[in-house]
Amino acid sequence: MSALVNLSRRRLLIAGAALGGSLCLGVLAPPARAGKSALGDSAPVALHAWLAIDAQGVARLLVPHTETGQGIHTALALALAESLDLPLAACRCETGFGPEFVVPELGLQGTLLGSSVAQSFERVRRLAASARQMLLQAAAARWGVAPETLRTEQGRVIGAASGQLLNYGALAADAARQTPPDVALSPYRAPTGSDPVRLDARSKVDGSAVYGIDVKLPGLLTALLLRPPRLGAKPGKAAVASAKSILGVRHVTEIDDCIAVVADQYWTAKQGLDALTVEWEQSAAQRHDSAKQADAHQRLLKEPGLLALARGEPAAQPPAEATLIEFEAEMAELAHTCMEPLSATAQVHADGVDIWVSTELPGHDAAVAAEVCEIPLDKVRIHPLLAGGGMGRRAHPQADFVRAAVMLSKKIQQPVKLIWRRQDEFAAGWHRPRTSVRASLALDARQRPQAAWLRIASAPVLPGTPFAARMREGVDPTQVEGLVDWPYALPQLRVSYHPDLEAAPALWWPGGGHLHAAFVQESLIELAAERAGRDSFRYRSDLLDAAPRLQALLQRLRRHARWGRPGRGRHQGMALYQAAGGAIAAVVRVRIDAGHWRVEDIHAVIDCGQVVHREGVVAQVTSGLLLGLSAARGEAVQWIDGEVQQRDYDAYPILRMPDAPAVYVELLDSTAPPTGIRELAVPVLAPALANALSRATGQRPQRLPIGASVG
Amino acid sequence: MQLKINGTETEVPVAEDTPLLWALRDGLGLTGTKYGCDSGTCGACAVHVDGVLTRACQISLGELRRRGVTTIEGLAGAEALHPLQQAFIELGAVHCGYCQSGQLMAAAALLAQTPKPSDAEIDAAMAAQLCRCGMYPRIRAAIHRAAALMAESAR
Repeated sequence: MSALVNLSRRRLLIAGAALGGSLCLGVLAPPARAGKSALGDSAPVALHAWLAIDAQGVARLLVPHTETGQGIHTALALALAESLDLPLAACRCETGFGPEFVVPELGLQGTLLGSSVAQSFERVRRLAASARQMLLQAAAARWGVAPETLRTEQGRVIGAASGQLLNYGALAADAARQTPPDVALSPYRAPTGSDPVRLDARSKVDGSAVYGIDVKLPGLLTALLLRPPRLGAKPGKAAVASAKSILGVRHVTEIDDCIAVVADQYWTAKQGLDALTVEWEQSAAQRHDSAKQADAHQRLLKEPGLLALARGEPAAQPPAEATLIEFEAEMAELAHTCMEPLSATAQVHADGVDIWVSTELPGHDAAVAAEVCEIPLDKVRIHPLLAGGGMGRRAHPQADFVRAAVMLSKKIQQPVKLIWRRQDEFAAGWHRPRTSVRASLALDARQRPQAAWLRIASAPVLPGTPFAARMREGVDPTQVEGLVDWPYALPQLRVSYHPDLEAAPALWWPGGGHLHAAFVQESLIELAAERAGRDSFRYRSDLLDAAPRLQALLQRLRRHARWGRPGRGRHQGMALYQAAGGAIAAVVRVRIDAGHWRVEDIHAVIDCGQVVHREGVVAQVTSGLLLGLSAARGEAVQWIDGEVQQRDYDAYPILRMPDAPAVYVELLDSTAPPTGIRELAVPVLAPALANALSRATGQRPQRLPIGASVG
Repeated sequence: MQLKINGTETEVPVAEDTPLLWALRDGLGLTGTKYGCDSGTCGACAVHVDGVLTRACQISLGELRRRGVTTIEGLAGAEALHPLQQAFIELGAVHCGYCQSGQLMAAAALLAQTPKPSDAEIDAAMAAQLCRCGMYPRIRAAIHRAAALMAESAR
């Protein structure tokens, strides 16, 4: 259980806050991180969230999570409004930063590897409920009555006697002198009436929202990079004179394996870049090749691999005499390509470094910046900004684009905004690794799953990251996740991991290992249902005797999607997936037209625990499903002889509006803690689509992306 | 050079060969117009030039003499919000928001030509506007809603 602490009288460095007369409360997150504290004379402390109520009665919540579009600020502002009993209009939620600002689940500040709402919801509610109690106590002291005789109503404390009415703002200074009580939480009451719109919607439609790439500073320069043709190549002889002669180009300098052109604005830097001629020293160049990698995976999968998961006592290999369903999945490497290109602005100065950036891992970025500048961590100030998408690419083990910006500013001693052009992100690697899975499912005499063997080959992504300690004897848990939650009756399950250590550098991607876990699980089960001659829903439901909630989910979806009535020339396919405490099921309806397939609509029902912001959850599920569709349909990064073939959206087709189906989402009521959504919504799509296409064409997709044409 | 931006003659302090996108962002600090690809494939930088939908990364300042540019900052004109902006907010078409400026400018150009578009007309007009968050069904619905709002206020 996290502890609450009254920070009202401490010297607060977090977010530069200096708030006289305010009530300031923090949630301490165990375990406290070692190291010097930025809270002055206090003991080392790890702070998860921070709340200030000022004399005007405005509540400002600082959380460690980045707003990447997932709606975290709106969801947590709603939780704050509910538990503090304050109108939403008086609630703010922002991303804070500080060396102590820690997400306990990660051990540092970041928005990654799980749901930010799940991590923060209960902590924010406790913070708010405790602050409310302190306000009640302050009013009780002032009026000389017992706190129990008072109540709150939308930002005011009201007493039994006439005229006893005070706004929170008028009580904040008194409340700041109270000790934070631990208040038992009442069940969350979602807002009644129409769902509130996102807090950031207005600024995002009028162009005023400030993303990392939009930062303005006096004297700010722009830097672009010329990148080696292959990873590992280094700049050799470079002709820089013509670039330097361009009016406005200030510096041409090497940064790691790249050459940076620094100019007074983007266009000048771009012209400088185009004027460079560089001979690259390629003796250490890496020659990644996707076709060769596919062959290598087949070899890896024939080896014993590392045991990742065993349920029951499965044999190492499927017995020869069993009735076996076989499935082999090959999933291409995927790029993130968030709409906002990667970018960081750094200003190294005498007193440390300031960094303005959209990042999902500020805690780690700060550590890297401190190392680059050889300064203590508390001399690094990160100003977190809105991110135009995150997808995990803004959380990099070497903090790549942030680090380069800091190195540049340190070198030229001026504030500089480094912008990665679209092609930079493609060429640099760090995509979702290509993944191959070989799976066998043994059925018993009643055609029910008896045992499953899964062999997974991919590049591990955790080594070298701040989460490397989560590796288990060579097994990357993010590559074998989800299978532990295999929902159906299955006496025996054996999962082995076959690490691909020759792959191009790899990174997390939304849904993580759930993408292949769901694809394989739901393809296998569908094949088993076909073998048994059973309906997709009934077959699954019969294997879920011990899981009534999943059965309820299926029942709800069956009605919601009008299962079995796809309409003329249409075909349905479904999938169910359970992970991280939640579950989702979806029906995809496809139509084949002139040699191409098209998804007509998607129906989904999700069980993701307590819903904080209904509208936000539906948007997140929609977003996840369509990301899953985009990837399954056409996304693939391909390396040939060390060079990434895709450098722009023309060669890397992400979903566009004409191919976007209608999406209908229903939420299962729940009082369980909120769960992640992306690790459910993204993975469930590919198998549901594959099951629909299999029915439509008689051919079962095993390779992703499927491509837009059939046959 | 001088350029009429959002109704106001404005001195743009950058070279004439600068793409309009960077003239807006770096020259004038109008950062509502977004950079996404520099190749005209993502649509994030869409603006109107004399009312015509234009990729700001694909046209240079020098090509814009005596022409009027409207950016997201000027879309609403004298109103607080354009009906499209209102509909995008109401129907939750906003997610990460980075593509929104381009989506709105493209949708506004569509509605100026086709006040009551069908789904197919919307899909065709919006096909060049990428949204990595996949808010397409909501954007489609918001365009229908804005069309209805505009028809209502025209009566």
